[in-house]
Amino acid sequence: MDILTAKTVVLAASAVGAGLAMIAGLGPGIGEGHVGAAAVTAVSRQPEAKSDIISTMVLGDAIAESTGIYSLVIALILLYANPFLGKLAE
Amino acid sequence: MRLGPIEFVAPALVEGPRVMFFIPVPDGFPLAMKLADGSSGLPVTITVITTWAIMLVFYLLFHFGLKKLEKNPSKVQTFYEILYNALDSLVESVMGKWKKKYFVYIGTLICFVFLANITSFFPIPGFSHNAEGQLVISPFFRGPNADINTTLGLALITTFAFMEASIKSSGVLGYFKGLMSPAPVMLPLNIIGEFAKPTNLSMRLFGNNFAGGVILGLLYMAAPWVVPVPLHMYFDLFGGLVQAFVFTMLTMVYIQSSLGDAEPEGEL
Repeated sequence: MDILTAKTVVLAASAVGAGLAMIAGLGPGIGEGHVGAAAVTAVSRQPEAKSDIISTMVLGDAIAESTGIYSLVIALILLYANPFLGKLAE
Repeated sequence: MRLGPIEFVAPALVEGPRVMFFIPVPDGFPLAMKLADGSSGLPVTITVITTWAIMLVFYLLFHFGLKKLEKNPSKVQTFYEILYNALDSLVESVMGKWKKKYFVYIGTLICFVFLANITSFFPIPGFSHNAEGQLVISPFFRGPNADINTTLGLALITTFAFMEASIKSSGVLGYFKGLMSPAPVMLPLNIIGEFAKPTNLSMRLFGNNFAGGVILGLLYMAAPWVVPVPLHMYFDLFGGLVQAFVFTMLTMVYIQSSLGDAEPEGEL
């Protein structure tokens, strides 16, 4: 049990936390699927407005993506720039 | 990677912006750091230097591209006219009659954010020497939006813009009354909503650039030849354009929603 120091626990917990954070990748997938479905319906109703509809769809995609990006930033911070290791050294 | 006497080094996967030099300031200056020999200095990071380089590129493009304006436009002038018309119709579509007042800020914002996003598409080498005295070549510039300071600064400018717009259209007391708008018990939620807007804008731009850089860095560690090319085009060009467009659209929507039905006064 001598390798089970505090640092090991912190590193293991950070790895688990990073993995749990990426469960939030579910949200943008479903949301952007809805956006795409609505865009396809709109294009089918009015094919002349296709480029306007596509640019609106891309705008909606980028905004729906933001929560997924927030969780990715948290996961990357936990993996590569862990703030808890610095606190542990004090 | 060694190539004869030259060493090519890729930057670390996740690192903060490196400090290039310090501006010496007198002691007691706010935000200054203490150096090794006791004097104080303001750190100047590579983000700031890259932003200076983008400003220089803007100046060169617009000064030398628009020197001679003729009625029958040449190809270069047609490009600038297309750009201006596109930005004009974009601002007109959301802001309507306030276009003249906000066109300068919105146009500069979208051009700057787009150029800042595609900085990592152009590798400019920086030369230095490593510990054994060999020449080391590594990329010099680092995308300024990969640093949360830049994106937070841009988001704060937007925050001041829409707060100023709403204070101008309904006065300071009207602004606070607006925060309590459906019922006074909504005040904490509305204040959090006001703080959520710059957080939202800055974190989206920062996260897209930073995470895109990390994914490309991992891909370069795995397969450095030919394979990263389509992903570079997707992350840098397409993703950069989409993020610049989204930042600008959200800025315009926030400003327009805080202006409401006000009329622009005077001849602008």
